[in-house]
Amino acid sequence: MKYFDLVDFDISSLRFPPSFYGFDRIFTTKDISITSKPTVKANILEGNADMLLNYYRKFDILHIPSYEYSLELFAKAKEQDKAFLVSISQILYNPFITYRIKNFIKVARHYNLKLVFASLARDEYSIRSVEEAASILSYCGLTRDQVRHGYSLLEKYVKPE
Amino acid sequence: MKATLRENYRYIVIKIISKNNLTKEDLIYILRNELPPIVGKINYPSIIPSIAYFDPIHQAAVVRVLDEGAELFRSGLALITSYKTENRNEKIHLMSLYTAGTIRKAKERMNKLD
Repeated sequence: MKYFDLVDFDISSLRFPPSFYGFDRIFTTKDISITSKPTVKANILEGNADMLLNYYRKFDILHIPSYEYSLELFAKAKEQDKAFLVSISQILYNPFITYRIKNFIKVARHYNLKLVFASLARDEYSIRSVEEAASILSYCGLTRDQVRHGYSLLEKYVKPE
Repeated sequence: MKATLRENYRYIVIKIISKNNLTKEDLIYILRNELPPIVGKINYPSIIPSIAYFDPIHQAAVVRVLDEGAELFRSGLALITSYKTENRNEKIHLMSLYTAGTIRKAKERMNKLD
């Protein structure tokens, strides 16, 4: 299985290749664009549930940084086969969000939604390997295999530019 | 001591990723000061990490932990993002690479690192 990560900085300064972290490829936000403005063309739309509910059709992956879920959005996203992004770096910088992520994952899995995991790191010290992320996310009710599967979905859901 | 009373240990190979090279004392400081707030002071005694071997050149180490706390240690280590002393405030990443049952196996694995 091939694993992919998405980071938010220039990876030319990385000291270690993606394989060191266990990834086949590390994408940047230049390859896979993230926007909070629904009028902008991008791969990932991030925002609150109300905004995503209006514009979810135009984007491949949805991201709710506050991890407040909406059952209506989940039901519609399931119909349209949209995936949700879970950012590992948010847990690193704000451990209190773990509880929200745990609930978000629980409800998303109930709706059988696809969850895409990525570090969204802002520097090389925030990149976590798949196994490290699995150790962290085991406290959010996920098994190692589920986390590994989530890391393999990024390329499937978006076509990098 | 009876075999049933003996503590079982795991040896975890970690790679240190930081801007400046860390010393063994720095790593001891991190394990004693940065790790307990993450894993919790109540859970820390089920880990009791100690450095079994430190390689300052390759910036890698073998840390001995109690078997029952090995998973908690790996999770806690993954959540450490920086370490602060009076003089330093550095971003670090302590990456757990391999878990072994004997120090010999752990050292063998560590020697394979670049």
